Amino acid sequence: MKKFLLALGVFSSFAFSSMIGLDALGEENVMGGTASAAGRGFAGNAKTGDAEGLSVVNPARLAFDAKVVFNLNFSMELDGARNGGSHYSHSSLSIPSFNLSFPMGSFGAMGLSLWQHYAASFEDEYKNKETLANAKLEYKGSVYELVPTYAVRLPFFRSLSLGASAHVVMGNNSRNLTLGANNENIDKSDSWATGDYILSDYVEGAWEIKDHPAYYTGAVQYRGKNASYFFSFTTGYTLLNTLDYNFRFSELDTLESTRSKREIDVPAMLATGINYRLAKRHNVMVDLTWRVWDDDIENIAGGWNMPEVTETQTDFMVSLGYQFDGSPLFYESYWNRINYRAGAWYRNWYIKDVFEVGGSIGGGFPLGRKGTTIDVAFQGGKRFSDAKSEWEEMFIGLRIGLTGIATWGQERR
Amino acid sequence: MKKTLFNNLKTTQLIVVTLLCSMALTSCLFDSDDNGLESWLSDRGLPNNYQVQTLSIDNIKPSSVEVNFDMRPKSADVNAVLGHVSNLTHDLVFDLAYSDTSFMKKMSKSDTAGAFLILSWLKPFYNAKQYPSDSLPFDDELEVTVSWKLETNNKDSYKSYFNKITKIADSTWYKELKEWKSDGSADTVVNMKRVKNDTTAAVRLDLPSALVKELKKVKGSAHLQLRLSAPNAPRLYRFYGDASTSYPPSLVLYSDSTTYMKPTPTPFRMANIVKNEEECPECAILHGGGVFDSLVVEIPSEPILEALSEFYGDEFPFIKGDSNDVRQTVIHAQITMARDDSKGSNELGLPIQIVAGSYVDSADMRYLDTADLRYRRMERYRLDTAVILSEGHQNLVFHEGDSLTLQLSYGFRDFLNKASDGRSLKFSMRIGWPFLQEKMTVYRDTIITKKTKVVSAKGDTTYKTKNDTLYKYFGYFDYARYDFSTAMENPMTVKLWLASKREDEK
Repeated sequence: MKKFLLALGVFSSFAFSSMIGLDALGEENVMGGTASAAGRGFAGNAKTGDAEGLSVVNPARLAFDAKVVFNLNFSMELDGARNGGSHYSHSSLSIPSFNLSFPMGSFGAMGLSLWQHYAASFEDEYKNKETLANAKLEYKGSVYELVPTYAVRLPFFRSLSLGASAHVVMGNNSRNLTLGANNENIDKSDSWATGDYILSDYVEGAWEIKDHPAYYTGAVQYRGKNASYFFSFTTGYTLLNTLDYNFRFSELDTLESTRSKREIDVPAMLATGINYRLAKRHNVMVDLTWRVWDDDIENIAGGWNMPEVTETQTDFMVSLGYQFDGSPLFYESYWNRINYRAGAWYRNWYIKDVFEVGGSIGGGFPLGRKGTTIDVAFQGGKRFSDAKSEWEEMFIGLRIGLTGIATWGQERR
Repeated sequence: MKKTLFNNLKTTQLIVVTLLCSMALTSCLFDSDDNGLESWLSDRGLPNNYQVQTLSIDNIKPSSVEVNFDMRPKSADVNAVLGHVSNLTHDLVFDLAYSDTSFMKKMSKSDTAGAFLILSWLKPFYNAKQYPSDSLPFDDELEVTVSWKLETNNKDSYKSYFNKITKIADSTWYKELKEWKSDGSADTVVNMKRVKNDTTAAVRLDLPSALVKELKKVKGSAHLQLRLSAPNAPRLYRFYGDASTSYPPSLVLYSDSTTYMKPTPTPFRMANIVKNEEECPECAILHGGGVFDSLVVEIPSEPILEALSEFYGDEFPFIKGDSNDVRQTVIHAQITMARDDSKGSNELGLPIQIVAGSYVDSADMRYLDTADLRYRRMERYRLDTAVILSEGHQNLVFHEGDSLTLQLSYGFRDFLNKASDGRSLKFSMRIGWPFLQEKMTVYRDTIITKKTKVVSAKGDTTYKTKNDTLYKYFGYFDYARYDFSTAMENPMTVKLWLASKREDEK
């Protein structure tokens, strides 16, 4: 454990995240961003087991869990953005989700997830005496969702389960563009007055759902001997971002902000997936999510030459994954107890003309005899962009999930 | 013990391998070129600096000019002044208490008893080289009206009586002085005399016999408030206040030529009371020094907003949403007005700083003014080095040139931001300190690190050597008077340095 934390620390110094969509919602952490799902290409929402844990896409799966699971995920990503001859890399670290699920036998199962659904994170500065460039840009944005979930197996059709979850949205966001003066357009004798003034174009706001406490996901899951599948529907909702926008010289020397609200109509989402168990713990799985965006997204703040909106497109993701389940027997060799995972995906972003292709490998490494596991996923891929203001990106990522499993409330067999 | 995969790897190996892999990947695939971020910002429509633009608006005339004479009694604990200058009379009030039963008995029985005040000249002021050489000598027979309030106490101990008196807050005492009702008054004459390099330490002011008669009646403890008034004085006289440890004023009581009350009572606080004798209370006249008169000027919004509308091609004021205009901001702003120093008078002949403050919004309700909902924020002063070196600081009066420029960045910033509510630009002017470094760009007291040539405001050249201190202000007020009618009656010019979020014109 200690060594893993050391390795995590080393990687976190190279942590990167996407620079696409910063003025809209940022990067979407799909499927709850768990390291186990990431290892198999974000597929496997239909996969059932004793301790699969909570899925924000398929709440019905939880009904088949037999053990209490808590799970904390870290995500680090290296992004290299390119456009023509220019290239640029950037960094950050995120914690996409924390999940807790609690099976209650014939009373079903409950779960709670804190999910960073969208993240916009960026900070860097640039100075060039020749071009008089002096800019520092900082984005901090998180759309968090608190997702209480309930799932239950049907009384007579025990292979079927129903699940529902509510997504309570919260979080905040900000953009701070700090600039130095350019006196090129004024008389030289007037330049004294600007001196070393640094000016910030600053906007900050908070997220909530308009006119409603939450949006909802409902799902049905079937677990067969070999094949399991699910179907889920997530309601559409309007995200409300209340913004304060101003110019500031410092935190204490600002203009009075203008307050505005941007509304983002997030469409309903359909999701489905299948998991097929081959002989001896081999699983293959396919998942699909689908959302049709009708409206463009107003950007976080106007001004300068920035586009006022981020154009949207139909957003879908196809994931293909494989998992070899490790043996649950602690006296087996360590290599046999590891879950091995691999996967690939294709994702159309919600941003027009941006799509992503990626692949991953991963493993679930048991620690000790009590079921504690560290899930690790290495990812890589490319985000393609034909959008004018977005660059294409290469990315590699590391996701680490800490999963604890317990049998609270379970009868000893 | 069963070994796990991670126990097989040594910590160091794990870190090194991870680090090397990360670095290799970073350097190969995830590097940045020199202009990568600049290029990315540009593609997103973000600037990499802000363009400064200037806008001059001529022919600005104030819509209102309000004079606020400062008539509040103020502390004279440090600098005590008495006399008449610049149409102001400055009275001096002493608050003191004493008790000496045995001496009081002697005094009450004596026919030769008397009392006088010792006032020590403020020698650092009169001996300063900045003090005008033609102001000395003077030899004035000064008519002084002495009025007093005397209270005696036989019940309490002196200590508890003194504590009771001193518990009255200074601010309360100053407030009470506005309604001065004396127990008695009498006139006296004192000789006020100083010559160059005078070594005379103090002035003796014999108290009138009517007061001495009252003082002889005192039994137990006495609380004496003494006011000196010299409305016909030809000048202002400056003395040490009671805060001076070496030269505080003192009341000398004697029963005969050799018997004095010891220790000599000294005041525990002092105040100056100002009487304004200006004949035109609404004229744009300010008094300086220890008097904080202010001129509150309002500039109409229309000409400024029209000029901005023409400059940007947008509607001004901004009335959309909450109507707070953040489309642009004022980096710097200044207003230039005409100046006629011949209408003013000063004591020291030094340039004097005009201090500006603007009325701006604040969330701090302590400053709430129900009439305006704005509070006065003192403006920051930025240095126009080239102009200072050639023509001197532009916020001075009594110096070369015929204009006065005040910097009002906070005021204009607030005005443009909130112009939709119909506000005007409002600022205040006040006379500040006598200024010593008229053409120096170091705007603070400075310790000299190498031999430096200094040209004073009067044109004298001196050389400062290492470790000398170069002071920004003369350390004593100039009780000056300045008539700003020329400034207010003639058109002013506003100059703005602006930054805008508007799209580049391409």
